[in-house]
Amino acid sequence: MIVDDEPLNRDLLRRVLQRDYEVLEAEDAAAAMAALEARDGDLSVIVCDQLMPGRNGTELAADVKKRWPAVKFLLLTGYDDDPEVKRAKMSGLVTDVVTKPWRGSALKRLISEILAA
Amino acid sequence: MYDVLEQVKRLLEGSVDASVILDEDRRIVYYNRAYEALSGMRGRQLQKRVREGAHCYEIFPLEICEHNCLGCQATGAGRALRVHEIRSLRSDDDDEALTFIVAASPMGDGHIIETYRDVTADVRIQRRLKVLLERERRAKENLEDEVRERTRELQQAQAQLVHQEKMSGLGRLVAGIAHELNNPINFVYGNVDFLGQYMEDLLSLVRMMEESELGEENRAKFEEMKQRIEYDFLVNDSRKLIRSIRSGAERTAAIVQDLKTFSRTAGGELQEADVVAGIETTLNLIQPLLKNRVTVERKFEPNLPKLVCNAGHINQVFMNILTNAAQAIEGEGTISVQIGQSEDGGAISVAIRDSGRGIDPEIMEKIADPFFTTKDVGEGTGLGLWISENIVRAHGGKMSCDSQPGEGATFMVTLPIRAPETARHGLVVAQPASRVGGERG
Repeated sequence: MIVDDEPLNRDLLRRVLQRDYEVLEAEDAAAAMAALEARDGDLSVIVCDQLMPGRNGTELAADVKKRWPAVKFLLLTGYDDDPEVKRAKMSGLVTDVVTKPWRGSALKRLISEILAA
Repeated sequence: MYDVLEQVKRLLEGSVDASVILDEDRRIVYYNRAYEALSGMRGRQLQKRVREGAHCYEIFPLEICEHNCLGCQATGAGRALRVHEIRSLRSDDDDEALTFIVAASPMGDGHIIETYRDVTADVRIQRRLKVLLERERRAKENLEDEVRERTRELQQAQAQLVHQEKMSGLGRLVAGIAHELNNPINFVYGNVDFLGQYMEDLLSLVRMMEESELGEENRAKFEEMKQRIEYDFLVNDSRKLIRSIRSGAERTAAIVQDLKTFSRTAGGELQEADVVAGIETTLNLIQPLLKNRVTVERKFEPNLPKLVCNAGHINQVFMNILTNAAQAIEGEGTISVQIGQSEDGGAISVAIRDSGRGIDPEIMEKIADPFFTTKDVGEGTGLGLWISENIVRAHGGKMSCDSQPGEGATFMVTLPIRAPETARHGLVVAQPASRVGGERG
């Protein structure tokens, strides 16, 4: 599932994934939680932007972890030295962090690695 | 003549100045009341001595009596003489000695009139006044020094505040811009791979059609279409387009990365930093100042160790020096950057030399003063080198400058491999003794 408030980013992420995976989209944390609820957490990975209106990426990661700990979480961020992001990565709250801007091919490779692990 | 002497005696009798009339041998022939008081003798005792033929210098010796007798000189000169500040020899103690204005007038018949005006009190008051005035002058001087010192401290504090405010504002602005640019660049950067992939897929389709049986009529239409759209050119140029979009996006992404690195000063954490990478980043950022005009020569020693430092602050130092270097060059020129390790391996030195106009000796001492600038209003704040010097000092390092007018300038920054904790906050107020300009050699 792609979670990002920016439609162009969602399009791009869909482009990265849609040839190989079934893709869901959510525009914010609340929509993401609703979608998870509807599927009862049946989801392999969430690819999520850190800065969003409402709850941000790491907060969503914490909410998801509590209910569905098996769902992997890939966080995308512009601030690679954001302390909140650093903590989330150190504590294992998120599976991995990718700094913007990223290359489509590299992100695709990383997601396939996360799903294979 | 006798009458004249008597008249003189009468004149002198009531005088407030001690007066005597002496004969040719300087024996006292007459003295007035003031002289009696001055002699310190009782009236009869003095009368007796004078009757016995006492000389003036026996009754009341002055410092001029022995070698410089004023009466003798006046007689020799044939006119009245006067000397100031003559002390009596009655006491060994300087403070108790009496001071006089002494006058001697020859009377023409061999007699000499001498008068002694006691100015001891005046002299003492004058001396005391002098001491007081001197003390006041010194106090005033100290006060002026104090005011100057306080003014300097205030100026430094103000400069520090202005800079901190400016840098934190600038840092926030740069970080904000960098982040806002992230998403749009990501659209280009992330998408361009897919654009390339999609195009190759479409080309495979075209190739497949080329190899398929189309029938003569369709084949002709297909070839005609290919010619009309200049198919071969389109294929080549589209690949070029995608490559140039990718390289543009990569370059923009690198600039954003530089801006993020550069604005990362708020935390004030000491971290490992690669000096060469820092210099390269800075050179990238000031590229617009150098473009097609300034050649950059790099002489980097291989295998340099990393610095433990406040990386954002150190970047600022190189940014300031390199910007100044670029701005000092009018027209074409060269900036040479030399990075090396000290012999004991404990420090890294960066020498930045420009072929610019150089620094006048008169302003050399001022270049690191806060708010000193030779740039036009709005172009420079006059804080760059002052800040740089403070940052280097906070890192336990040294910054110096060598320049001759017309022959460019060399700025040398030496930083210890491991910066002390003071580097965390960056600014240590500079002491004038070790100013940048003062260390030129």
